[in-house]
Amino acid sequence: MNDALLSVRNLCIQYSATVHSTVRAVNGINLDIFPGEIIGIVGESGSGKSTLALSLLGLLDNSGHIVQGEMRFRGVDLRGLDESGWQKIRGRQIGMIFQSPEASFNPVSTIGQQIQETLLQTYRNMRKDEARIAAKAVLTTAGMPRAAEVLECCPFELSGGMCQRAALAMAVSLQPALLLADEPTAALDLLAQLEITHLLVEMNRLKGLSMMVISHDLGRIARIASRVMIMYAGRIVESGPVAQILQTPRHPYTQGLLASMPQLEEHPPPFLAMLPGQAPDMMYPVAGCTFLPRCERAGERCREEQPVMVSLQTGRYVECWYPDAPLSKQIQQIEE
Amino acid sequence: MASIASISVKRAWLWRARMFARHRLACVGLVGIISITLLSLLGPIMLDASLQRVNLDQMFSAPSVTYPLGTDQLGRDLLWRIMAGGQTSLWVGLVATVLATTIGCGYGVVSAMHAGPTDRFMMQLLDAILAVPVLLLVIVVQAVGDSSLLKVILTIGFASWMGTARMVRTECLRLLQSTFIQAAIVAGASSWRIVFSHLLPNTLGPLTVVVTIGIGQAVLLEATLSFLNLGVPSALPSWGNLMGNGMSAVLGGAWWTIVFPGLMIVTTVLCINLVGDGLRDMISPRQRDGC
Repeated sequence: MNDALLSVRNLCIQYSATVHSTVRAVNGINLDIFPGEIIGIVGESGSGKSTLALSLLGLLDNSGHIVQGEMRFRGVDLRGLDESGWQKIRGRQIGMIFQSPEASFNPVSTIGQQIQETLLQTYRNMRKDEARIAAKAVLTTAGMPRAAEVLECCPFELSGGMCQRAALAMAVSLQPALLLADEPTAALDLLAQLEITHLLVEMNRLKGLSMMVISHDLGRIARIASRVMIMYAGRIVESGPVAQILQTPRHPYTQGLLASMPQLEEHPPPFLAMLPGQAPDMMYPVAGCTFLPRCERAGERCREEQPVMVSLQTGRYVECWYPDAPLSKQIQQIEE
Repeated sequence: MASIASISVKRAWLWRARMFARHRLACVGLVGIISITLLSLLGPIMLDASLQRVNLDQMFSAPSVTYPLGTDQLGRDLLWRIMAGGQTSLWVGLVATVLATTIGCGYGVVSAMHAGPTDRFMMQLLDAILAVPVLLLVIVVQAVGDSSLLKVILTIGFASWMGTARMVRTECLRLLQSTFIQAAIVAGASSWRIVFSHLLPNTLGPLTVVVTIGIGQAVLLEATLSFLNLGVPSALPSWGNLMGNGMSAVLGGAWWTIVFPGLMIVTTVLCINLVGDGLRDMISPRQRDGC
């Protein structure tokens, strides 16, 4: 497994909420990203997806800290980096795009200035006119129509979709090996969502850019990722190739997620299934399974012991004591 | 689209200018402050220079055609002295504010960038400095040693940066949370670049307001000090000096020696504050209270 671009072992991240209480945002995550692949991280709000991404770039705010675990990028221990070490990683090795494209640019300067500054900061020998040409080139690669004119635009003059293209252009302008995309399409309209998704896949194919795409939309992830990891309460509860996860979900949470996706083929569309209950309060650790209060198949063991990750096949893992249990009644009804 | 872009940037500025123009009082203030500045700069050049010489025959002449605002205790034309004094007062106000703004910006940015113990310490230090009565401190500092123009500027500058520092820190903390700063950091930006191309340009709006109001405050402080004879050297005319000199004469009936410099101070500070209000409304139209 040493050929992984990024490998994360048993990562635990906590936020200190008040003096005495901590929020356990990420609780022991293992993750490998190999060169040229797109992995999807799916989970609901508060499951620790964004915290995971931010920690990979050393961007946790002051209240958040990594309690234990290991993060290695191309063999470099990310936890041991100081600020100047991080600067060599950020942008040049790992890039990132965010959920809100318009907010990804400084409102007071033009798109061109910001991409050029990024280039000039890293490539010290580059001349200004070269930077301009390079900035135009990255915009074109990101599928930006009329790139030369967009260079002169301020962020507020671009649509959300165009801003996200520009943000993507800036993120890949230093040719990172890995791109973290934190809900890149969440703030966009449907058409722009499709365009950005398509663009991500294209960049992956053409440049071999690895990606970690975070989303709460399993359907969208399924279209672009080769592997999916389902996050719940700061843990990866199920992971494996997309097709397998979609066809034979084994964790009750994944099953619930899939059952709650709208099916428009049927007419009239059936009511959406809902997972009963809420995500757990991450301030209070529980002894057993975190999914227990919402689980229909839970047994005595789930109350006492946290489930361990079991391997079902190669590359297919689930964290549940009863992975072979039949689908819950509620979900079965929907499926029928 | 390049042309569209530049047009819409222009349009944004036009819109802002219109927001300012809608604020009638701010326009009055702006016209006022420009006229006072021009009069102070051009007045002494245009007026007959002989009027400013000591002329003991004309001691304490009441306002007349030759001396529109009367004369002072040495028979010098008060109009001429008020104009020349304006140069000193405005210059002190401006330079001291530039100094205060520089210190304040530096302090605020450094504090915001070093979240944690450093930030906490710097803010507590700021609280401690704010607890010192400024006027008292400034008077003590000015009373020690010789007085010079530079010393007044430095004293006022170092006495009035605290508000700016607070404001800049708060703004920076807010900006540091924003996605575009994170996006810049993620793209490998250094702290210097975060400060100079992202933080400072984005605090410019609120900073303009604070600076404008600050100039008014500095003019007032200078006037206070000079009035107490602790400000600019008495050889240099300034509005505060003129008032200070006029104090004793008022009892003898020469009201003009104190009323006219006083009016200048009040008008100038009022105009500056009005402009500040206009700028504030231009930046955050939502805070506007019907005008």
